[in-house]
Amino acid sequence: MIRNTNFDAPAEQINRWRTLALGIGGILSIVILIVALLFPEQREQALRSWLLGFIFWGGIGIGGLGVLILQYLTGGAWGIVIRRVAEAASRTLPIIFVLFLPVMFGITYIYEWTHLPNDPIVQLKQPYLSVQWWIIRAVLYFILWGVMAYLLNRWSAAQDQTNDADTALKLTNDASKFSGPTMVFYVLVVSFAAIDWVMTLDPHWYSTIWGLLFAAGWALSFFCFAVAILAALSDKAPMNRILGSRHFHDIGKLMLALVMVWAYFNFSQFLIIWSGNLPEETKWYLTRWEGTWKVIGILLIFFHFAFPFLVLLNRDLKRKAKWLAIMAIFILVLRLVDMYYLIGPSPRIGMNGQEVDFINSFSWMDIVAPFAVGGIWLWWFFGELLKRPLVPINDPYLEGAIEHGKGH
Amino acid sequence: MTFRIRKRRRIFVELICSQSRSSAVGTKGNSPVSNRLPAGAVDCEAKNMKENIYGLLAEFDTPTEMVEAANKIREAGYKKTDAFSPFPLHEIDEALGIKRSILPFLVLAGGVIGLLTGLGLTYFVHVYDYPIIVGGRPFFSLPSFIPPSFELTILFAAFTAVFGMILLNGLPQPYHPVFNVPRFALATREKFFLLIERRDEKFDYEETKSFMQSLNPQEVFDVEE
Amino acid sequence: MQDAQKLKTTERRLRPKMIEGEHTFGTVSDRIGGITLKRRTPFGWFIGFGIGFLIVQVLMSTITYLLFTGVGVFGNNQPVGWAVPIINFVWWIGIGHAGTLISAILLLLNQKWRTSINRFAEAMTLFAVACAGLFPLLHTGRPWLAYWMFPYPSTMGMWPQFRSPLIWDVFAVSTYATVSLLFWYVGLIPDIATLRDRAKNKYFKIAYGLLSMGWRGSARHWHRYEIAYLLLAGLSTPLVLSVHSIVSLDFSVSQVPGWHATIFPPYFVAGAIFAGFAMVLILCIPLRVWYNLKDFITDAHLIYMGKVMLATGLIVVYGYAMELFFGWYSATEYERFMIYNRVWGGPYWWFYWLLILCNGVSIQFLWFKRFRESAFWLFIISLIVSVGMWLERFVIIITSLHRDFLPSSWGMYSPTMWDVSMFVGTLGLFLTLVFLFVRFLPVISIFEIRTLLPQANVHGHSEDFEENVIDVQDTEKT
Repeated sequence: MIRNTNFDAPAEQINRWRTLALGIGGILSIVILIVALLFPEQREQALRSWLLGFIFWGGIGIGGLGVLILQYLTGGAWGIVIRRVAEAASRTLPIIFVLFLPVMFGITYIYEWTHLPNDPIVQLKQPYLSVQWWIIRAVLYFILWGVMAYLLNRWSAAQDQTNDADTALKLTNDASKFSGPTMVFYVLVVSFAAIDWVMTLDPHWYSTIWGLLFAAGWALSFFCFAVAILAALSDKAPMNRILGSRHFHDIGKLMLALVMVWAYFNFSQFLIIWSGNLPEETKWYLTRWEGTWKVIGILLIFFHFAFPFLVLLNRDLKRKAKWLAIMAIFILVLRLVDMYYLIGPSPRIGMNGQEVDFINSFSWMDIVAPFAVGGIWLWWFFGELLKRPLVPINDPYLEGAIEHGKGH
Repeated sequence: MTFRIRKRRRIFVELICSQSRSSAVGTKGNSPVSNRLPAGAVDCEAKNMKENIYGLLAEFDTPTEMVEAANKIREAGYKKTDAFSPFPLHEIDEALGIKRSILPFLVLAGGVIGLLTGLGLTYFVHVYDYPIIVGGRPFFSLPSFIPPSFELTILFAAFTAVFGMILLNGLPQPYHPVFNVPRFALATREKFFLLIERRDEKFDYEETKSFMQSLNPQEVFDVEE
Repeated sequence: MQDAQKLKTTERRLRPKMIEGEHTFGTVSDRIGGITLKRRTPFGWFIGFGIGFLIVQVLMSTITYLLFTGVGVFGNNQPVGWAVPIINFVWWIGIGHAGTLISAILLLLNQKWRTSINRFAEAMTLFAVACAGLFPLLHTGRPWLAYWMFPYPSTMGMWPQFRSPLIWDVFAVSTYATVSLLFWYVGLIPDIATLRDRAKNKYFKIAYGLLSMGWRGSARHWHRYEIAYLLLAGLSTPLVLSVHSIVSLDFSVSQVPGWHATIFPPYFVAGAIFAGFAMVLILCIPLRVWYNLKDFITDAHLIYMGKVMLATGLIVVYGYAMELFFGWYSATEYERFMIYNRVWGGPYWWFYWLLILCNGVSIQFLWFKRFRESAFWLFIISLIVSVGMWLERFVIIITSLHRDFLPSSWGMYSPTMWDVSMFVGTLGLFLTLVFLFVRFLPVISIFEIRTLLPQANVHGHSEDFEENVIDVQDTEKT
């Protein structure tokens, strides 16, 4: 019965979103490009803002790959309704790589360590903090992610084609088996990518929990993004026949858990560094404990943790697609603020080791660049979303998962 | 009633395990329990049936039968009803019209009180009552005060959840009239029971009893006070 | 039709039934309740209990000697001021975590397989916490003054130092013990009522009657009961994470290289769950054989536990990897020396490699079905992991301390026989408590097992516990 139903994405609607995204993203990217090319003194700022947008949107795509792997491991109805969104996100890796190119070519503008050959600490880290190695590693990360995304997507596409229940089941099983070891590599790669791309902005500082902070944070970003997409699709065919309030409830619970995990990891990091009080570590927080940075930090505690936590505790809210989507977008905005809190205050090449305060660090491009990157990314994402039915039509669990959504 | 109490040497023991008479029966399943009671007891019950009755109890074999019967009982307008089952059944809440408990709000309040206690205690101790610098940290070291405050939040909330549940349920309650029905011992094993209390406005011994018979139970019992 | 049959069997394979054999509400109650209500205690129980009880005497002698002599009987000395007692404390408290994880987190995640193992995992938690608590209590040398650790207005005008992680530990561990006890007791109430109504022995009847508080299975009671149980699960989940996080903060808020790492809280929590699941497997593999409980603790349960062990073990290994990388990347002299000393340069290097062998290499076998599906291999791997987790704390604590910042204060550590006897003694205490529990209380939650039976559905309603059945029915229709 279910095989004869049409589960294709509503093309008209999505194409409209797609055009809009490309329009905004394209224009704003050109603006940033012009600024970077024509005003050399603005180039550092333009690239740093681009990095912010890249880490935020790339994080959603890479987080989508992580969630794709995760849902094969855990099973459950939420995994089946979210799978195609996660697959589409994982297939954005090519555009994420393209969006990464400005960061890669602008490495000497963004990362202070490229200018500190005589700094004793940077010297000790020399094998790791060298431009060639940094680039080779980045390419390697993309290759590894690419292999994971390619295989999982290929099996899923093959499953759509098959008419045989055994083959369909075998493909799901294969993907699950593959996901176990893959998760290990995924987390390792994410950890080192987060270290390379964000932590080395401050070449003296280090924190062991950093990789987990990003693995969990990017998963949270993706879940919020997916809830927004699913909620937007939930009142149109075909998703209106599939999504039930219980699906949103389940994903809402995961969002709540990850909000708590985010707070837990960040508080652990803060408490340990604050208590240890070692100069090489506290500097990172001391910069962020000044002026406007401090306000942003406190804002994050309240609006990235306390407020969503209290709101998401509410059972009824999690079951209403629209309300959960509003909360998800709210968290997404705060995710961007969080990334800004990590990237913005880090040392700048142009300032020669001076303290970076908010006033002379914040730029209009920090707001424009995320839109520029996001527009392009979303354009690609929606294109990928259109390519396949919105649910894995031959997955042996599909009917159970649809049934599950209607329950209490 | 008096007859039986006189026969008991250890009232305390009986109150604690009030259904001890029937306990030996349980494992056998369907053996006719009433045969085991002394004949006098049965007579005595028969005579005083209407005066000291607490309510009527119907026994069912499956949860589905019980829930269906419970729906009919609610539709018939009975309010002072209860159901007994060996495991929680979500459907019965709806069938008997049980309102959602206020327990979650009590627990929230307990948690908030715990949090305030924790923060208040640490503030009082280290800022107000005995301020002393240790490890170069400020008097009001909020990051350090969060772990103990968190633990107290959980502790108070958990206490509220458990003792709130026990007290709202009216436990501990070693004696309850339903325990007087010997077969009720099976309520903790495999059988399902529905009770209509005499306090109910609609309760009429004969009428209610025949109504309960019509629900297709295994048996309907008189529950004595 | 053939297709439907095939799908049906695959469904069975994908979502294994959590109860094997034909069971009714009654047979479930009898099989599990029978273990405690049987009139004759099996001979094997006396042997096991006797061994445990004998080892408790070792613990008692150690404590007596310790209290008469003083804490000098332990091998702790400069520079290794924290040694085997705290290793044992962390080891035991870590083992305790699986219980709460199984009962709380898996309940929230709606995982049916927790039902058969939650009861004795919770019991194990309590006993492990009891064993753990002995070490900090006794290492003070004057346990009768332990109340000084709690905030009360004393004539001395003194208060506990809330800036110290050790006081957080007092709060965390005592809260954990209390909440675990409550959780366990609340879960037991309906089952004790079942035992009360079945027991023939008068003293058992009184005891079960008192403990069950007159539980009668009323729908109104069940309603509040379920809410309270879910709320407790919701509260226990952050609690269980916080407890081992705070234990890890005992180390990581200091400045000792090898202790001061921001990954410590999640890494310790994963390690605790890892060790805890290993201990649950060590206990339940023999238990299900001796007491004929294979219908309830099926092979599927063991496989799930094996998978959780693999997952948490990999997080722990990730922690080791990050420690190594950041030891080097920090570019701090002391951190780099710590790694050098720990891994190949120091006298305790082989402990590190033994640890990697136990925690890192042994679990890799769990990737393979053959090992995951064999109770024997799971048992062996669990034993190895238990040893490995002890070694992990040894490496963290002793290897980090014995090379201080000043080379002049470098030294070696050697435990005394009392260190050993105290540890062995707590093993005996644990064993004794487990045997007592198995004898007097239901080892599996009877009422929750009843909800898993297909008879427990109310027809015409769709509820959580029906899922297994619905799937099969649906595929039959197509």
